[in-house]
Amino acid sequence: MPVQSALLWVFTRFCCALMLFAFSTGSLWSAPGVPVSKGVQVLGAQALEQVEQLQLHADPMWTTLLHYNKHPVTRQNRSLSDDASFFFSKEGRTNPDVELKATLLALMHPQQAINPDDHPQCRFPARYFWLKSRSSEFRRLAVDQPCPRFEAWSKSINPAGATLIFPSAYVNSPASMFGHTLLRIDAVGQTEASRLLAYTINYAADANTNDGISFAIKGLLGMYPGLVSSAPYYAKVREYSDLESRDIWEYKLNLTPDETLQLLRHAWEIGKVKFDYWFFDENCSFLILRLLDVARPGLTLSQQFPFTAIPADTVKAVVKQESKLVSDVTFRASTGTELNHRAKRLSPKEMNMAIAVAEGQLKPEQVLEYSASANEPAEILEFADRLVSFRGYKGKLESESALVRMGRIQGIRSQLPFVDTGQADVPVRPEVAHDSGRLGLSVGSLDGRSAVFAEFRPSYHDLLDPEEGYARGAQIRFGDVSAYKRTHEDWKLNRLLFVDIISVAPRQAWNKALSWKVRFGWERTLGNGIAAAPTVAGGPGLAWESVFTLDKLSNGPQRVMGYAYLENQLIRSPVPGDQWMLGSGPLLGLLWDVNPSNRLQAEVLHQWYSDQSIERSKAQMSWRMVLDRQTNLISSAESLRVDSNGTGLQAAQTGLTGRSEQKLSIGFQRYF
Amino acid sequence: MMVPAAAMANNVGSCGLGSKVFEGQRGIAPQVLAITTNGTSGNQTFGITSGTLGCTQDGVVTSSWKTAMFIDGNKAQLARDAASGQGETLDALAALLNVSVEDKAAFVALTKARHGDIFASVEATDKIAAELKAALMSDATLAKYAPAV
Repeated sequence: MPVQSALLWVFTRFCCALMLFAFSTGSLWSAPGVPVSKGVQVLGAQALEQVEQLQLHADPMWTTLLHYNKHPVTRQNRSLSDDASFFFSKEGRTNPDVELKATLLALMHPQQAINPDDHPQCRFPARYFWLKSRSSEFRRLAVDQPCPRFEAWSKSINPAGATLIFPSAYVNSPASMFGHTLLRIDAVGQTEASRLLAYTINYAADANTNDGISFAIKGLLGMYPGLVSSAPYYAKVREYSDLESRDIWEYKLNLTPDETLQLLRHAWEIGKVKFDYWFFDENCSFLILRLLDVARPGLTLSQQFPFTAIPADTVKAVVKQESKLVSDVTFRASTGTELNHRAKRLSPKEMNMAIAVAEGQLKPEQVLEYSASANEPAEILEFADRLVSFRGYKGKLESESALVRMGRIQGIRSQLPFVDTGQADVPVRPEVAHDSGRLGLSVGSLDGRSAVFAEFRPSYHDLLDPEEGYARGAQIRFGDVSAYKRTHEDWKLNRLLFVDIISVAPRQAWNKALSWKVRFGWERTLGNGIAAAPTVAGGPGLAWESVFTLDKLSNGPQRVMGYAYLENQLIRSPVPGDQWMLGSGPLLGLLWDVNPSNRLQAEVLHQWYSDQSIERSKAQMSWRMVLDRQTNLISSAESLRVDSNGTGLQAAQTGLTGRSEQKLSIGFQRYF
Repeated sequence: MMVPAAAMANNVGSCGLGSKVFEGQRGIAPQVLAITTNGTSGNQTFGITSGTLGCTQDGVVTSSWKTAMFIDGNKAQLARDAASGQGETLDALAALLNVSVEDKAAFVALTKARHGDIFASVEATDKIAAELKAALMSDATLAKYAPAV
């Protein structure tokens, strides 16, 4: 369906975009192409002949190295880069054959006395290495040139292998659930103690992160350049683990040192080309896949993502790779996860003391009086110290006072012996999570007539989906569309939401998190009789979680999250002549995990609108049962009542007086 | 306390770093839209092929700055790990200084016992480095690791 593919095209690529439709200004490197002397042409003739015989321009690796790709819509074959400095031939962007021959001759260029690093071999070391490996004539004829900068760089990194790094989401930040991937280049002789010192290969927007709003807008519009960087792993761990409180998954890959070196050579080539960064076309995770494809001939990971490369999906692809690319998986708990783990070890009294110390109401030395043994005070102080830090990163503490407080706590703690606090539980791995696209079809009745309900969600996860591998209580949907057809009527749009985010963040003794939600698009708010209207909605909320055991359902502990939001909505008024109306009111709900495959959601809502004294109440209950990894059985019941005691006539015309309608449905959802 | 001149000269501020313990951006707007940029802080300092910037060259740390950069990037975590007597950043620091297996326990004990001196000013990388160096030098077994700071 054209609508669906258009939606897929637009909405599934909100991730960082590797914008290779270039604006090549500011490239580090000089003009495109290198003038090829007659001598080089004569010298290279035999190599050219062999390359022609072997049809190397059609070799998958040449396609990968030059980022040739069929455009998903026009089907035209072109390189994703049109930065002129990325090619040696003017036709290079669309002609792999001509480009290969131009490249071959350029790579045979004589030594450059000045700026040796500008030699084609130094600018494109991966191409040079590959061509030598494929053509014996080229290997015989080409003379290796010195590339001091590349050599110094790769020698510092000292590659032995690579690890795919996937920072996952943290509670209350559903956007972070979209994820990100980078590579850690593990060094020769690296131990567990020194892996923090390894370098990473990371692709991200080169943004000034201090200005929230303009950053967000510019990011959306692709106004930042992308940047390939190789920061030490500790810098990334601090960023994700502490600053953003995201758990990190480390997927050790079985790349050999030689394969990893070729990966670095290609990263170097990409680092030279300036890419713009926005949300169309391939993104950062796609770039990581390309690097892996370059590292090991025969891998075609990037080709699995012609339309979209959601980071978590790319991780799944790497794990599922037939050649068993992943050899080991490590979980690195974030500050928040670590606090959660430690919180379970403290008694309520100990927790209160820790919070009091963190908040400066109790002196750290007073904790020493709590117990004759040193273990409990040590653990309380360690918790308090981490809590100050956690709140400091959240911006809830003045950095100055947080530092002073941490210093005092650590000072007392350092006088106590070492204490073993164990490890945080390792959650379900992200690669076993459901796929991010979802189709749904249900039958039932609406407002007294039987009806069919269809839904399509290109990405990513909502509160009723099975949450294994996702963050608990986090919903983020893009391009979510649903429609229905009542008997003897046409299809009607129920909703089209560009973005729909809900964060249900349960409050704990140590973490007074605020839940929140936001969505915008079109929504059929006032019932079947009134068309879906432009809407912006959202609001703050509070949530609580309870874990208990029911004997009758002996499937282990029950988990219930309850929540209350202030549901605000700005919506286009259905009354002719009016523009927009504002509604607001409480929403109460709960999510109950009856057992791992069954989840129940119940919500009640009442809103008052600024226009025509419209009031709206809604009660709904949904139940999801997992049938298999790709399929759910879903059923829901909904009751809606809309009242208006405004200027009767207009309200009556629009069918708003005292209407109520019921909806019942049951059907299937399928992930893709 | 006497602070060796060599340690004082190792001023990480000249790298253009001197990073703060708490920094970053907060608020709903960046959260909602974080997805568009996916890991926003590409750090210019570590750009591949970016040439020489501060104490890095093409995205890797110049060798004489490795320890200072590590301390600068992990100040808060290091202070915490040293106080507890265990932790990954402490292990990594020991690895960076080539502390042998036999001396590791003494190294951990020293950073714990001298915590108050070493991390008196947790925002000041140079001070931490200088105090760490002084602490190592004051210990007969560990003095040999002081030059690596």
